[in-house]
Amino acid sequence: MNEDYLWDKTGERDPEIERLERSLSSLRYKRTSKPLPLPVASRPQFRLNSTWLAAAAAIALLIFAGGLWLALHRSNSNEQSNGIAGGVVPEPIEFPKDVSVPPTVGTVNPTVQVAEDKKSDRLPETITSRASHNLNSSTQSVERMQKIALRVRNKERVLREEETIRKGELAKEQLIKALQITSDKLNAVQKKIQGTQEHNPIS
Amino acid sequence: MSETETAGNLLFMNGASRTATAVAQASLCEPPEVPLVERVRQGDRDAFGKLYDLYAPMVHGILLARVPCDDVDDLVQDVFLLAFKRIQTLREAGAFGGWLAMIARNRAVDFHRRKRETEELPENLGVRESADTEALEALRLIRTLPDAYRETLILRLVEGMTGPEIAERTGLTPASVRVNLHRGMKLLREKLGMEKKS
Repeated sequence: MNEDYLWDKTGERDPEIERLERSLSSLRYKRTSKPLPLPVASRPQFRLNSTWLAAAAAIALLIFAGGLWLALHRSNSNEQSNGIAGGVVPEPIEFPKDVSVPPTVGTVNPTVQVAEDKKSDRLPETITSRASHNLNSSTQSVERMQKIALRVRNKERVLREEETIRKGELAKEQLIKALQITSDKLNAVQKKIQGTQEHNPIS
Repeated sequence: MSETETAGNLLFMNGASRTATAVAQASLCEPPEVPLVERVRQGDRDAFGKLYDLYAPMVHGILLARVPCDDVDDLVQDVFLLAFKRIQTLREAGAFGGWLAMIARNRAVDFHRRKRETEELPENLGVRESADTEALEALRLIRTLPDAYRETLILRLVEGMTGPEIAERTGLTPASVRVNLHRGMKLLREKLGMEKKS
């Protein structure tokens, strides 16, 4: 067989190949007179293919995840700073201004009381000791109230922190799930693209 | 070393050097379709007409290797229409030939899939009246060869393209085209001999 003639029609002619060429030339392409019906216009246009779509989805997800993380981080830091301030310096409690005056037992007419006070400049000893006793007990009760308020506030703070941690954990789980789903989808798209490129490596 | 082996080696070296020359020429010269593709991308329809003239024989040959003769002309138009619509997706203008060849092959596959979905056509429907019996018989035998061989042989024997032209148009390497032609022709000769004997 003449290899050169088969390759580029040079060299010694091969009669069998020539015979085949002659007979098969009747099937050769013939330019038709009718023009190719081309569509109106083929302007450059942006095509939203799967690669672009996947990239856009990934970017959007990253932005969303970043925002979520920042929001969680900020809320945590705020909670912590509030908690520290509340623990060290308790908020002042407003007390009634007439704490020094103990509540009297029974109903006493204030005008009568004033009149009685005016009658004698010095109060009897029994009255002053009772008043001081009353004063001490009221101070103790105030301290007790302060302690209770502090305890309640601490408990609330602990509960708030637990709630925040729980929400954070939930958000984290959701974020991980979303990232897993996106990763799966991106993998699927990548496989699809690779499959298309294998099938059609040029386009 | 015997004389036959020496002659065989020389022939092989000669062929290899020719293939290497063809590769070097292909890499040095810019393919003619590159400026045409760029013009088509900018909306020049005449440039697409020139691409059509340049590549229609290749598309015709690829389709003739796969689909009935009577459907080939319509499918050639389909392939070019599809290429015109999708030309913005082509990344490298220099790869237009290979890209178009791939569209033609996919269109042939699609044709057979659709044919199966609709109805089974009779075997003799694709016989062209004008074509002589010898040509159709040769084509039938070529179609029995493996894909790579039949496509290359049809481009060479039916469309009258040379090996370097086939390589340039289809985007295949000259070496693989040479191998396909040689092996395909060997198989075809065997089949023709068997036909004659029977």
